[in-house]
Formats: sequence, structure tokens, C-alpha cells
Amino acid sequence: MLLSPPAMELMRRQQLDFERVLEFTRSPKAFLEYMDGQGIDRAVLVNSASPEVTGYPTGMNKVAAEYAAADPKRLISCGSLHPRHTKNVMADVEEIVRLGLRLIKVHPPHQLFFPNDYLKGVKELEILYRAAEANHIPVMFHTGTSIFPGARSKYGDPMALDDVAVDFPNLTIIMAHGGRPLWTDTAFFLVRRHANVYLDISSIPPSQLLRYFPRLEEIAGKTMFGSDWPGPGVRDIRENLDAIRALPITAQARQQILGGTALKIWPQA
Amino acid sequence: MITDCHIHIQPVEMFNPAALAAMKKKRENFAQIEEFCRSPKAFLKHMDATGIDRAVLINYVAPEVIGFTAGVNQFVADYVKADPKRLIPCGSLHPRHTRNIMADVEQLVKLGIRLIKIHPPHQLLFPNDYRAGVKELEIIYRAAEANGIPVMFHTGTSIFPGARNKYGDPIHVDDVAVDFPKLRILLAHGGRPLWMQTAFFLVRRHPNVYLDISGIPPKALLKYFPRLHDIAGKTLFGTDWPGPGVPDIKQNLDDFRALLLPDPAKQDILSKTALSIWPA
Repeated sequence: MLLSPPAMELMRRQQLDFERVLEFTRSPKAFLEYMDGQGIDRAVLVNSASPEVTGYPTGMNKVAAEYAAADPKRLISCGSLHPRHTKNVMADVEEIVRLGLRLIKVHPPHQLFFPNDYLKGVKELEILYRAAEANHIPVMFHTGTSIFPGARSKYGDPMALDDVAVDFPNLTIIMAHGGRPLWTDTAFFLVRRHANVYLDISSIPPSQLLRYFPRLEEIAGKTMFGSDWPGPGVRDIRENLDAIRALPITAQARQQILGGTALKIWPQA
Repeated sequence: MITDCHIHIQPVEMFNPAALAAMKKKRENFAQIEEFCRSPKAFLKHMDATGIDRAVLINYVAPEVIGFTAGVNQFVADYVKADPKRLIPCGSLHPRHTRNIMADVEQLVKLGIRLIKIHPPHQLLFPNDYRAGVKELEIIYRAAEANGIPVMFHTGTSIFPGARNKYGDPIHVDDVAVDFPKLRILLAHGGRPLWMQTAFFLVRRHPNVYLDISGIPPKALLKYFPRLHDIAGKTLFGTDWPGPGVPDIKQNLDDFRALLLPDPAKQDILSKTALSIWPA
């Protein structure tokens, strides 16, 4: 755990059994056992370098790759780099590809930039997206607000991804949290408008999901289940999963959200 | 007298392949549309059949996204000669695609253009970019204001390939309404589907801002604008035909007439507001 004190404090306050979370970050074996108990077959392990806000440093991609190596069929690795905290963006991008990372996370409110800032001179972002596109590595963007101390939520409006989807048409783009709670209509629009944009429903309380996305079934084929565990407000994965199973949507839509869409993006290893 | 303030009669041969494909999608009678774009006479007959007295023929310059050049202005000026009482020409300029903005503005006035269209998501600019150095926009607005020519802004999203939707938020028109208080401003599509509340606010806030309901399925209109009757005197009927999602003018008109709105509000929207902007 490399979180800054205020970020750590927030995590501890929100999570009843924080010691257990710490154990899981040290031991993939313990976490795989936990997954069994929760009924989760595969987990995408999301990381994003954001030195200013959460304290999570750059250079952790190797650690992410090693953790997932404990069971590559079940653990899907995610890496990141930060445009302002990279000494050599080409080398860092190459490392992501070489390590075989299967997702790149960009977290605008924690990394403090707009996803389309490559249009304003942030060349590193363009290099990152081009490399991800060429190597078929999807990029996940945090969309929506963040309550971590120091987070800046103006960067969370998903509309900035419209440019990314237009400029990188072969890049698979995943919108984490569907812009909740302020921009869910924008997120819905983008999923329908762009063939390459997907929705990750993590951290949206399942009981609120159909209120935020009343037409969720229409985009089920581009929607993925996720919990955001152990983030603020997500105590338990199983509870979350059960609530999704209980939603009044068709069995086919549920199957796509829980299994089909993710299998399309990350085929079974 | 019923005016459809938003019909796309345009030079079809200018469409780039991707835009043309988007137009043809889900549209079986594209040949008929092509015929109407070539023949004002055929289109006037179609207007008779659909119950539309006057049509504002929307054209705009968008080389990057659609393929339209400034040639659209001459096209529409020629087209409306067939019946200037019923056909109202709308032209446009593009700040990045003009060699001499003063000359181009003069040409618009000389051609008798009666509406100027600015399409931010297709022209790839914000309506208030004159505050960020795009002087050409200010010149266009000043000339429009001085010559009594209204300006229509596309507001809301666009699904054409290459369109950029960040430009579609109507809040940027707030600056324009403040800076050009005598310019009559039409908000096409009322910011749908993301920014209807912003559009409603702007119509109420600024005496010079109007709402064009085209592109909104009439059946969804009162869901998007529950207080539409409050602004009926500044609202104009339009269809956006033959844009994506607008199969038929007549159907659109019938659906509008069936709405639960007081008759005077319907009269305002179908007829009076447009007559106040473009007298018969």
C-alpha cells in the first residue's frame, strides 16, 4: 500500500475490514480465495499512478504484472503512466506492452488532466493512446466525481472522451462508473454514439443502476459488471453481485453484463 | 401560416462518403431526397402535401465533418428563387475557411440570406470562441446583428462521424447573447438530449434567444421541455428533415398537433414566432 496519509485515512474510514484489504494487496493467493468465496471468476486489478492525489506512484506496472502472474487466467493486470510524471514516455509505454498488461487506467480527477489534453499539447497522452490502440490494450477512464482529498472533479466529465473516441477509432475505451452521479446521460450517449466506447458500472449502487441508466438493456452488449471494491461505498463484492442478479432486466442482458462483454474484451487466457 | 424552420435542402453532391452513409442509413427513399435537393418545384409540391407553408432551408459550411464548402450559399440563394415567399434561405460562413471574412459577409448579405447557421460540433468551434481570439466569429455576429439576420446555432449532440460533441453545449451561447444583445439567436434542437435545461434557461434569460424544436421527437418534447408553454412565444416549429431520426415531415407535424398544449401555444410555435422573425 502506497497511498498518501489522507487517501489512506479515507480508505480506512470507509472500509470496515481494512487489514484484510491490506493482506489481499500483499497476497494474490489470499485474494483468489476471497474471489472464490465471492463468486467472482476473474478480476481486473485496477491501478493508476496519481502521485498528487492518492500518492500512488509511477513505476508500479511491474508490481501489477507480477501480482497477476499468480493466476493469469483469473487475474487481469492493469497498468498506467502519468504524462507529467514520466521521464521517458516511449520507454514507459514499451514497458506496459512488454509486461503484457491488459488494461491501462487513466484517472483524470486524480491525475489532474482532461482525457483530450493531447489536443492542447500533452503529447504523452497521444503516445499512450496510439500505443494502446496499436497493441489492442483497452484504456479505462475514470468518469464521474471523486471524493478523495485533492481530487478535481471537473476532469470527470465524460464528454472529453468524445474527442478520444473520434481521434482513436480503434482504441477500446471503457468508461468507469458511467459518469456517476453528474454525467450519466453523457456516458449513455457516448456508449451509443461510438462503436469503441464501453460502460463499466462499478461503484454505482446496483439499487440505483436503472435509475441512472433506465435504458441499460439497450447497451448491455457494451456494458461490464464491476464493483470498485474496496473503494469508498463498496463494502462487499458478493452483495453487489447479488443485487445485480436481482435487477429486473432480461437474462440475456444480465449475462452480457456479468460475462459476455468482458469476455469479448479479455478473451479467456 | 405554418413554417418549418429547419429543413435540410442542401447540395447532396458535397457530402463526403462517411456523412453520406450516415444520411442514407435507415432511409429507403433517399432518391426522393436527392430529387428535392435538385428541384425546388418538386419540393414545393411535397410541402403542399405535408401541410407546410414555408420552409427555412438550412445550409452551413463544414468542410471537415460533412464536406460542405461556402458554395452552399450560392446554392441556397439560387434554390429559393423558385418561390421566395415560401422558401427562406439559410447560409453560413466558417471562421477557419474564409480568405476574406469581410467580403464573405458582404456576399451573404448581397445574396439575401435570411438566416446564418453556425454548427459548432460540425464546424469544430465554440460559439463564443471570438473571446478566445477567433475574430471572424465576431465579424459574422456583428454583421448579422446590423443587418437583422438571425443566427441559428446547432445545440446538442450529433452522431455524424467526426462530429465533436463538447461543442454542442448551449451554455457557450450565453456569452453571445450577452455580447450581441440585438442579435436574434435560435437554439436548434434545444440542446437535446443532454442540455435541455440549459437551453430552457437561456430562452428565458435572454430576450434575444429563441428555441427551435427540430430534431426532438414531438412525442418526447414535453418530457424534455415540461414548461414549453411558458416559452411558446419564443419557440419555433421545425423538423430537421431529412436528418437522422426524422422520417417524415407530416408525421412530425401531426404528432406535434396531438400534444397536450393550449391552442394559442401551438399557434405561436407553428406560426407566430416564425412570422415575427421572418415576416410574410
